[in-house]
Amino acid sequence: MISLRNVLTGAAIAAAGLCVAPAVQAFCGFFVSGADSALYNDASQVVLMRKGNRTVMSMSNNYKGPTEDFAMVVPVPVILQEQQVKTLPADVFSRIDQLSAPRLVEYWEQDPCWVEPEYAPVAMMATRGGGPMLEAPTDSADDLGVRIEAKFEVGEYQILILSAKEATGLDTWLRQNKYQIPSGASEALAPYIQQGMKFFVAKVDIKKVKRDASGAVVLSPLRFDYESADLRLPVRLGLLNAQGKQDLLIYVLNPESRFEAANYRNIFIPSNVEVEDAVRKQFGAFYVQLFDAALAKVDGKAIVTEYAWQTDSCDPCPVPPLTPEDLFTLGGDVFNEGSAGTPGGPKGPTVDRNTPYFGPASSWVLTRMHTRYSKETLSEDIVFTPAKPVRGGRSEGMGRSAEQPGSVEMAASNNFQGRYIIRHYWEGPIACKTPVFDRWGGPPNGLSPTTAATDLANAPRGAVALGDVVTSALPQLQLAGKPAPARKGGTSPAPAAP
Amino acid sequence: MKTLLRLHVRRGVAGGLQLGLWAAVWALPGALRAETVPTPGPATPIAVASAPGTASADEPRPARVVPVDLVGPGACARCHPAVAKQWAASTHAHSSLDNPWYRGSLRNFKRDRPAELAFCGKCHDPALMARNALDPEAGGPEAQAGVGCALCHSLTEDHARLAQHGRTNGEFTLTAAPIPLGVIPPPGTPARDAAAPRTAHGERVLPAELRATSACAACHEVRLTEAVTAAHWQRGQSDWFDWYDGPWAGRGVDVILRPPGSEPDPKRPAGHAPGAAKDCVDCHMRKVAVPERERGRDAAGTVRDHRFLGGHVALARLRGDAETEADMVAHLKGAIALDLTSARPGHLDVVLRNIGVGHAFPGGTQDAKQVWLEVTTWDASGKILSQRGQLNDDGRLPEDVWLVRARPVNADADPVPGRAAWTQRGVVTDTRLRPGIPQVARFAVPADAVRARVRLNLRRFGPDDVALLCGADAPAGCRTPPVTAISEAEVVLKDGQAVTGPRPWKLLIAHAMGLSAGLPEHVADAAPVLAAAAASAPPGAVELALAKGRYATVLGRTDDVVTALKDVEDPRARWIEANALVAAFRFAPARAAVERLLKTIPDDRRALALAARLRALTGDPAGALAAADTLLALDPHYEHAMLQRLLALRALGRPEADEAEAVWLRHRRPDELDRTLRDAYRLRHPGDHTVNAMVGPD
Repeated sequence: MISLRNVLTGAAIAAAGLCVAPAVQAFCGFFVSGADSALYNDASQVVLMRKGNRTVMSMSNNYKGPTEDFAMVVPVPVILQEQQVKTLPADVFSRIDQLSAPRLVEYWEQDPCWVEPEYAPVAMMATRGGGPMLEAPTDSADDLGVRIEAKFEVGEYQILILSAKEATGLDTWLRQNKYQIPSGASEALAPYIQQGMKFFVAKVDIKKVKRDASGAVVLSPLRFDYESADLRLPVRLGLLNAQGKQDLLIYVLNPESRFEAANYRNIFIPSNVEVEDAVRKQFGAFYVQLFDAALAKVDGKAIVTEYAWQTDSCDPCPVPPLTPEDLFTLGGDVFNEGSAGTPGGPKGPTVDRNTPYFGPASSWVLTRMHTRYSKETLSEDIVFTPAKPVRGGRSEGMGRSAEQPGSVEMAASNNFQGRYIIRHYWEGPIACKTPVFDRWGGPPNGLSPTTAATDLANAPRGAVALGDVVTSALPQLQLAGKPAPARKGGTSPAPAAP
Repeated sequence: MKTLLRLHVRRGVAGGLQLGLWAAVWALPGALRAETVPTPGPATPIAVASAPGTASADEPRPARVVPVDLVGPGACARCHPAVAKQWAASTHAHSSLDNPWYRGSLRNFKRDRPAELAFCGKCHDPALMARNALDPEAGGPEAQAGVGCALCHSLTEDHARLAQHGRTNGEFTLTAAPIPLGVIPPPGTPARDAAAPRTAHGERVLPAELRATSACAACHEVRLTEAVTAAHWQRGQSDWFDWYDGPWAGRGVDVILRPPGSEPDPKRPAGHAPGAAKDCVDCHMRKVAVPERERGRDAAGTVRDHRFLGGHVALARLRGDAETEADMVAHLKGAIALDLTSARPGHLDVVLRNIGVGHAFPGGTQDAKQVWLEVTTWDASGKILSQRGQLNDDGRLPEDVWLVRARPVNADADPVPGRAAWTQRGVVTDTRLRPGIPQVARFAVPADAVRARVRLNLRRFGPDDVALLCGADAPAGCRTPPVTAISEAEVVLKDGQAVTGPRPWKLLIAHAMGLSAGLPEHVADAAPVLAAAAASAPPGAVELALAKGRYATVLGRTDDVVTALKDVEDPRARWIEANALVAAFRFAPARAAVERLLKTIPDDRRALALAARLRALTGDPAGALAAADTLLALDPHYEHAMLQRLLALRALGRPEADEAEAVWLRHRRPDELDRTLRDAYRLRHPGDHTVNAMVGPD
């Protein structure tokens, strides 16, 4: 018999948006398992595609736990129907993450006596696949005050929608189904039961899930759609028994606007920051250090905007911009933009890029927000509101930066990104009388790389001292900026662009 | 001789007549019988008092009585001809069968639900129901009877006690006791002292039960039962509770800007809803002058207008009753205020405020009325630049029109056509205007427009409805219900924005609150509007503090809500505070706020529902049960109270929980069905923006 002791953590975050009725104020969801060892989920990504009063929420969790069956439990305001729950190919999250992630760019100073090289295009990428189905497990709920409202399978998940008629019924049902919920969960679930909410239980057969090259479980992202006048991300249940910090990435896709938090402080990640060459090998570690420093300046209580840009362009591009098929996958079908002819999009549990898309190639605004939170720093739902367009972190011609380091400006359209720059000063001979310095381009014999900082939740923290690698002055972080290296031969170093 | 229905109740058989249980009562041998009696003719002597002001309940009852007559004004007309004339001009004077739209509906209902005709008949055709003869093809006086005098004036039960009986859908109780004839004072007799004892006639025909607003609820609260829909239970029309929850009834906890005149009246005359500013009769039965012999006890020489003015313009038009039609239109004019302004370049915001209708507007059944905004702009030369909301050539409304109404749909997610309420499966959108709750509709306007006019139009039925309702025997007017502009406003435009000059701070608050109720995109627009209101509001304005609290709630800024309202002693502040706190899972202070609210307004439905939930969440299931039971005593169909009662009983280990569960499951809202219907509706009606956003078609 399986011993029922485990820990649930903030996977709930990912499921947060399910608590979506206008009156719903709390977040949603946690993992339960029948195994001895702990379940961990310390990073979640949520895509909220929003138009009118409808939101399509896609969520992706990094699962770290035992090789046992487990389930995710999420309160939901209504009984979700099969066509409203879909699994997504995992790489759509990878693409949106890479597209909007802080990017490291490198520029090589061009021969002061020569001409500028031309840039080559970045290669296309990406493949994807679906997930297997699970057998339905047995359940006995009737005499526990738990009612199975719906049951269906999507991807590797078996979905049950339950309603509870007493505060402890769901607790008991889960335990009898060999899932142990953490202490305090009954109390945490009570508000949802009092609201008459249902519970979305996604059971996962661990033997049927995909694994990555390292053997780690790769859960298919889940997608739901719902209606709500406001746009909020409930986080309450995600904090249930949370241990340590939770890393949360929120992407909002909207036809017109960038979004920001209405009830938390908003800050922008310092961008157009010049860094030393050493950052290349530890870009993730550098970035999380910068992120943590920025967040620490506001006592950890803020939502950090890392990206705001139209979906059909980027500059520089770690990966190509989102395609119409990506938008379709993330929810365009729900908005019925000329593709599918049935409510809620195409039938069937899986949406992927192979689904024909006949809609217009529309461009949406993609906002990426990031926070790391605990019970102390993020105690209430995040409410989102549209925000005016901004620009920052842009480059202009010849590799120079369009804005000062750390500067964000109001603009007519959104062009903000986290951009970090390594400059390679000219080291060759200078064979002319009037050399022209500070002209930047790609490396002498190859592509100009753009590296995205991904998997930030797992990047080592404390491995980089910002003062040792940042050459831009960032007064807001009390960084004076380390002097840039001198050119070979003693030429004066170029000032940090612009 | 006229064939009439006369009702008798055998002594010992409850002493009353329950229309809702008519069939069962009829089954009792001898309990009731119908018979033909001679109509009291004009020669029937009328008792006349020998001296004014002497009649009292202590006097021997007049020897002459008239039986309860459910057909038309009956004998009442002989002594109250002016009132009877009023009644004849009312909608109550029409049965289902002499109203061509309703007759068509009844025919269709009979076709689809032949066993359920009583659903209509109990309120619309009581005379036929009394004979168990309701049929859309019935003839005779009963078929034309309408809701006659004797019905309302024979009510016996205080329908404020709905919970004890669950009475809606015409389940009222009548006395069948004969009506003692009254006395007519000689000409020149001063009005009797209102405090003087009533006559036997007055006691019989004007019982306290009739004066209670809830008397109206028996027919103006309608539940679509499983038998009617052949599917799930739905709440249906709820005009009375819409009024009950609102500011005119002395509640309106969610109303920041009370309509003028709706402040609670602690000196409300006896017989009217306590604490209310106005109730049903104040609007629908305003006092009107009548000839001296009909004045009764009113010193001003008036009686309540028995035309029951409301929104039934079409029926008055159909009758050719121009006077009543004009009075109906006058009754509606200005009830909905239109304020034209701008918060975003290139757009005109129409702020709609229900300042004169005590319930949600439009009221009545949700399945037919059309209320919409018609917007026209002109350039400097007088040329029309843009039009929205103009009828199509076929008389239909364009699909992108801004509708002010609820939108019930059938199983195919199409609007319920032709009053076929029995086909209703859900409501996909509801933009009705609740009293004091502003709404904003946003329209794009051309940059070169210099003037805009907005009209709010009312039409009883559209072409799709009349096609289903108006049979070959219907009069021609059945197919062309009038369009009535009930509100109109104009504004100067410049560079795509309304030129309004300084605006009163309360209008600014209304605009900001209307925007705040919308999508996040519009909530952001509310900030500068609210700031402008704050700049011009008088110091300490309660409405401003409430508005700030509401706005902070929308944005999830719980601490700001508490700060904004901490010094405001007003139940509305506690309502906003409680909701903000419960949203942040701060249950103990949320409960404290709602308990404070209940000390001021102990019978507010929403506060009781929230109290039940918060008591349970703070470890007080017995308190939760008490709140739920109190709420169910007010409204036996309040779903959330059913759930709270179930949960509390379970927590207390009480055996009644099983029954409570069955009740809750029966009435539980099929929310997933609504969502499915809305998705399908969007596909079938892509132009109807109201299903996607509360604010703005553009």
